[in-house]
Amino acid sequence: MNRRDGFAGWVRNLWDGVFSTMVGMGITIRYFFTKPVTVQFPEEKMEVAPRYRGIHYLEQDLCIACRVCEKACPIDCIEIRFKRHPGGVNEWFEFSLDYNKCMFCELCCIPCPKSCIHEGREYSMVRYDRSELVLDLLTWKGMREVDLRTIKEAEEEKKRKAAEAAARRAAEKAKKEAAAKEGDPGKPRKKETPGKRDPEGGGDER
Amino acid sequence: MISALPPAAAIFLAQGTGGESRSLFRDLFGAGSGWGSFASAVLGFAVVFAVASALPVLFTWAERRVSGRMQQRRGPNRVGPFGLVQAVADGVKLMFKEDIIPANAERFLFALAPGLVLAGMIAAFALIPFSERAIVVDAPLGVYLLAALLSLQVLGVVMAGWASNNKWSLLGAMREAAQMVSYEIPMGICLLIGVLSFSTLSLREMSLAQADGWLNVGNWLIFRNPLFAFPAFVVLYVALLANTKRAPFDLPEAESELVSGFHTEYSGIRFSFFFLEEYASMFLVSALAVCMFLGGWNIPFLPGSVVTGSVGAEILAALVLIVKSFALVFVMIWLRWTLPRIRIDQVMNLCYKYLTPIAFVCLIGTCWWELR
Amino acid sequence: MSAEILAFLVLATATVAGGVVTLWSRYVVHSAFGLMLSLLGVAGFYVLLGSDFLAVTQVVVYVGGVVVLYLFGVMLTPPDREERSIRRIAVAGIFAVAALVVLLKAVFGMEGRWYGVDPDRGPASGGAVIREVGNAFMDKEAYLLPFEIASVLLLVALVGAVFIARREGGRGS
Repeated sequence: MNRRDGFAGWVRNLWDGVFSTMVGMGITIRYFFTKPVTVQFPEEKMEVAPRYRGIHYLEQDLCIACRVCEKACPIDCIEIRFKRHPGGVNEWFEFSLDYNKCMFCELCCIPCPKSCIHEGREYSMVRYDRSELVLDLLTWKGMREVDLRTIKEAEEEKKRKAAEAAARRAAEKAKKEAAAKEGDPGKPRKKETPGKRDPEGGGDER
Repeated sequence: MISALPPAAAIFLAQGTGGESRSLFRDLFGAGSGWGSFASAVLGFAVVFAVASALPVLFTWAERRVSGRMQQRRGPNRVGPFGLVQAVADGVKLMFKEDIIPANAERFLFALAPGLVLAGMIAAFALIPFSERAIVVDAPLGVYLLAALLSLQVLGVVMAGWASNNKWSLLGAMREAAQMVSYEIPMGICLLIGVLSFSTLSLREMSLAQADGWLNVGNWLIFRNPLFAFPAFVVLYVALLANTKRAPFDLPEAESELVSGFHTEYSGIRFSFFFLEEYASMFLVSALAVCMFLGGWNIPFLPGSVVTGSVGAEILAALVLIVKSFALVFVMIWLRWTLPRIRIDQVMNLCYKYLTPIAFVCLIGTCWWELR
Repeated sequence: MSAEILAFLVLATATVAGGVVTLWSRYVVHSAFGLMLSLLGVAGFYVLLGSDFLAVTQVVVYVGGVVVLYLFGVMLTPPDREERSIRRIAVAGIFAVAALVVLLKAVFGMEGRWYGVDPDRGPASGGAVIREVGNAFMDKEAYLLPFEIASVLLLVALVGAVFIARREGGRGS
């Protein structure tokens, strides 16, 4: 309290006390009638920064399962399991991220050749158990209808190609035989080449 | 007419009709040996107890909501509509918490203290006239008895502080004792102003005397005698604030220095007694100030004669008193979230150098005003 | 058994028990709380006797004031470890016996009922008492002089207290 002597000082102290209390009360009542700034978290969420790095999301239809992200991850928190099928179709089993470990460095997203893995805007990772923090990013497991169709088409294509090749070979053979009959063995025999790389090659399971 | 009321209200209203040779004992026990009136007194107290323990539920909610809004928060809003049931949930939690008595505490006094505090407060509730006839004990000594019961609170607090065998509790109790004994002086003088203005000690008669007048507010003490009664009302309000240990006078439980003061060692249901007492006494002292200075149950702008007599009028009157008291309670909450806690020397300064002289000036001024 | 007798017995038990605790407790704080109980019991007697004003005054002055100050003082004072000497006990005993004799004589010399208000001789109660007390204080014929002397005494005590409190510090404020 300021040192104020005499009756005048007493009155000034009194006035200051009452006045400053009134000022303070004015401020608090003004705030009382303002809108609360609280964001009701589970229902409402605050807008995150434009380049916020949250929980990943995967554009699965773009992903070619090249596993670059898995290799790029400095703490090995990505795990990918799939099986290759004909027609470039992948049968998905798992594309999981262990958020116990993940530090959101975005190193998985940079090297992706198809730019199909991103860090999203979702940040809430409240779970009851640590095991629940291993999230699967897949939107579908296994294969879709369209995949099955693709495989079928691919297989048909393959069969068709094989048939074509066989037909061609047969034709060539017939030609050759005809030529041989004509007595022209000059042309060397061509090596057989498949029409396409074997699509069934790289199916890999772990 | 009473038979037309619901039972609880009938009990409530059956008490307190005027008489010439009245005494507290006869009010409670009837003349001679009436067990019937004793039973009705007990029931009256039960109603009061229910009211007194329901109010804190509302006030803790109000306190948390208001403080939230003053800090641009929302306050509790999860349990029930607007979080209204939050306090009930907290109460249930408190009831089921472990009731700990510290090993070195004074067991008997430790257990007794919360009950003493709560009992004194509830007894004081019985003296508040909610309407002309809704009063459990219409003691002719109303105000004086109420002041006595308020001054008893300090004993329970000191008992709790001492029995806890804890330095913070003891310090809190000492502060409480010092504060209470000091603030009783301005409080008593301000109550005296009301007493000598209406020349009665009965709160009921005071409220009756404040009926009618200009717009039905002209006879309220702060308007009837604005020059002296208004400052007296402010002084009384501040003194009552100190009496209820509310911020900025919450030194006995100053949590930043004394953990939580005299109830540091209390937990569970015993703690809830102190809690209940604090919040119920907020209403109690507000109702006291309302009865004396703000016209009691009289409705502003509505002449009393229009609505007197019927059951509805009684209930309306009670509601008016409650609303007025709630307004004062709101100011208490408002003050709490505005002002920081003041130091003990400032508490004493305020009491002895400011409130007491002002109260005396108001007392003398009121004497002159009434004799004018 | 009427409510009055029951109330009397309860109050008497509380008063005596409070007194016993006051005397026999080893802790001064317990004594103070015992005193509180005893004084509250006495206040209850006043209620029983129909003098509410006296009862409330008893509570305000003794329970709410004196006992609180006792407690305040007790808590600020270190415990007294002094042995109880024979001489002190003897002096106390003489006074106690004398008081007891006077009390017993008063009790046995009493007329009328031993509890509660005698219906024939009940005092005026309630608001009327306060008015009477007030008038008596302000009446030249009655208690004006003692009242004024008491006021002056209290004022002197107040000034003395302020003087004692200010003497050492010297700082003022």
